[in-house]
Amino acid sequence: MNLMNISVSTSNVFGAFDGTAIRLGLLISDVTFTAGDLHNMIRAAGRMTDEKESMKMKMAVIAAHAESKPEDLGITAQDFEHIRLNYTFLKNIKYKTSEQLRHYKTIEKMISDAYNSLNQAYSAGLDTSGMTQLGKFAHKELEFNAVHTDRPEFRNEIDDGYLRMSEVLLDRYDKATPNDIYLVTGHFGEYLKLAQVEMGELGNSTDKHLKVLCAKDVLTLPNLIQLTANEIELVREHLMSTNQTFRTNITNWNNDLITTEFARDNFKMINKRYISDIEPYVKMLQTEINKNERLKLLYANTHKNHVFEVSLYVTSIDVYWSYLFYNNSIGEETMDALKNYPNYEKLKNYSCLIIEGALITLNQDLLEDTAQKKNNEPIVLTKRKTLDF
Amino acid sequence: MKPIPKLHEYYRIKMVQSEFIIEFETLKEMARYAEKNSIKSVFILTEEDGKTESFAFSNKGGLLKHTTNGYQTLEDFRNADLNCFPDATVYYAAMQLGFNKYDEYKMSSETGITDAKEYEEIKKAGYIQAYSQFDEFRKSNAESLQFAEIKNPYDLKEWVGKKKFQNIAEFMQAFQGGFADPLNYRAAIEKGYKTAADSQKGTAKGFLMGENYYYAQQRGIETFEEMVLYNDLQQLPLPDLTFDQRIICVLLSKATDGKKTSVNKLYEGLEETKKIYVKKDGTIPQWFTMAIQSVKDLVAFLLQNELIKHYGHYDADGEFFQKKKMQERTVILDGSNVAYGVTGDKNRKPTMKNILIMVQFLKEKGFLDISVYTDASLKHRMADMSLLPEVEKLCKYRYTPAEKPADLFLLSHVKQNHCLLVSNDMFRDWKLADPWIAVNIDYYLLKFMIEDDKVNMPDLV
Repeated sequence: MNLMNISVSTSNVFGAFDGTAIRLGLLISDVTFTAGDLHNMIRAAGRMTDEKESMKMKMAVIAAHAESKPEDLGITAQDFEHIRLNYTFLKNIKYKTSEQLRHYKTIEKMISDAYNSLNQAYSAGLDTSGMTQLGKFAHKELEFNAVHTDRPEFRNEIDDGYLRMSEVLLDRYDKATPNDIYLVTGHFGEYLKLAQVEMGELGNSTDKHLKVLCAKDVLTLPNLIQLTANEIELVREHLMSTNQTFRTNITNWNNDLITTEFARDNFKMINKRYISDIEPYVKMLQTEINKNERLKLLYANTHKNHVFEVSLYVTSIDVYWSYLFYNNSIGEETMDALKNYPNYEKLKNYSCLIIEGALITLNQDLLEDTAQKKNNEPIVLTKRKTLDF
Repeated sequence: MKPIPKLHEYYRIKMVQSEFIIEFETLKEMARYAEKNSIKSVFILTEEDGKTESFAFSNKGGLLKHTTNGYQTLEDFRNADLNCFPDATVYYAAMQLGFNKYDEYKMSSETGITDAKEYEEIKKAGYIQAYSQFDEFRKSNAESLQFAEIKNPYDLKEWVGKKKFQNIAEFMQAFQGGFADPLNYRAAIEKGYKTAADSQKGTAKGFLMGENYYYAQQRGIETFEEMVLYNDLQQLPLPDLTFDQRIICVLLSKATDGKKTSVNKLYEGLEETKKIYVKKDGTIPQWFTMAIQSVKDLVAFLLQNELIKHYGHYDADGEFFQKKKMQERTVILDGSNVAYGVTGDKNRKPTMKNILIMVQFLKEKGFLDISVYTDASLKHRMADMSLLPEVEKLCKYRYTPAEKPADLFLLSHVKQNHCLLVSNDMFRDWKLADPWIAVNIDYYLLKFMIEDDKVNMPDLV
């Protein structure tokens, strides 16, 4: 069972959501892949101490950051372009005068300092979002897909090891196995609501207008963000030894779904398969989750009003791509690249299986007892609560 | 130990005819004599039975000899003797496998290691030494894990590998702490537990962190939930009061300001609140110190304790407690929140003027102890910082510590001091995170609106 998480995190929001979803992946699947901005952040943080990092890469990272968040470095993209041109000009002078050499070294140091400063900020963010702990699993249970956008100017700028996002998304149609099940955060369910995508119950619904079949909240866990690497290993050992059939069945089902058109004619078969091959084993997995001492302890010691609900979705791949596009996980260039794929018209209707891990607030009452209203609604002032004997 | 160098040349001879034959008592004596007298040539003689062989050499007209005992040379015998080999058969078997010492050979034959290189690796990795420590520990600690299947260093190495310990050092630390596997060991140590037994006991009682478990142990607190209750009362700045007396103070801090409360009602309130501290077996925890067993005790406390005067005064004739007016309490302002004035308006900018207006309002209403807390970054967002001196004349203006969020500082301050907090913040995340805040913070919050430079505060109409 392989899961693929394409992060929704941006440089502004460090990956707490993805950090939690990836933890779920590590607990229940053989290998979890992650790709997207989050991945770039992890790579960048990992390079902090790498003195051999090329100046070209450092400058590419700074340029991208100066464009999106100039206030962080106090420099605009245009200013940095000027610095970059100066640096390149000086670098290309074979026999530099002492003045040129001094100038060249000064710029080089300035670029390295700026790059290190960005990396330190990334690292701090990764720590807050619980991502640092995941480093232990890197290139074992957690694999990274190095990706960049399909933007033309990036194609020649980045290391050869990088894939374009469109390549990552289309990869499943070019290979026989393994096929990844998509792992998403609660943003997916929110997107379906906002986009008013018609949704039916997985295992039951057959309405022809449905765009998504969903088994809501099939697993409940405590908030996983605080699980450390050692705890993940401990829980993983328990759950991996007790959910073998679930993993096999869901993998087989996903492999079949990839070549099944998401259309009413197939709903009956999809539902039947869910009921026979998945539902009973999900319940067994929940039993094991409930038995796990470490997870019980998390319930007792973390925010009791937060739980992590896991839902299963079957939908067409274009719904998934639209979700990624909506969340800026893929840009217009990638969407264009997907649409230009020779078999796009056929592919977009193929089914895909999505596992969502969403942090849910249980006690909504706590949120409503307030005078503060969102947007510009008038404030309703209340008196202080008091105790009357 | 270096092997004995070659000292003698050997010659195989057919027969001996000599009347002067001296036979050594032991081969060791013969070797010693040969070395002492610098014997260069040693004969190897087959005895008359055709099987037994002897070493022999002539010296001072005589022939000195002793059976070879299976050794091919006297040097081999010396090597075997020095390295404690019991006989020639064992010595040559060990040599063939590359072992020079009998104890290593013996260990290897017991463990099934037939390769001296492999044995050397085990030794280099510390398993030989670790095994003796491990064995000694389990023998001297009958209650420790015994791991009966580990009988020698090789078994130990196999076990460490099979269980996926990082190395022998990690295993030894885990073993001495009573942990049988690395995952539980690492998770427990990371959380501050010292032994497996502590970890098991602590986790069974809901303590994720060992630090909390040991803290609770020292205070006779049984469960994590109990510790949360304990801390809520313990952290109140009322060091000389018993826990039931502290509950009285908490109840009074939540009561309507300026109102009279009958002592009987207050006592009932205490008894009702105490129920949350009762354990499953119906008893009160031992840490829950008590001084109020009756209404009479409560009256004595209300009359005599100096701290209680902070909340109001007890009228013995009327048998009621008169709470102080709200204005006599300490009030703190959530500076950022007040500076924005109306939180619902996204476009509004924070101003020092709003803070000034609020402080002036509270002063007019009779508050004496007013403090404003803001995070340091607020000053960069307010254009009218020039008003700060005016604010500082009326109240204490403080920046919250940089290392923690301003909200956390404000809420902790209220939690500990039971003062009033002026803020329209819903403290949503904090309510979700901390049950105390969810249940209690609304008893201390004063909500407001600033419009047209006027404050509207329902509690101070």
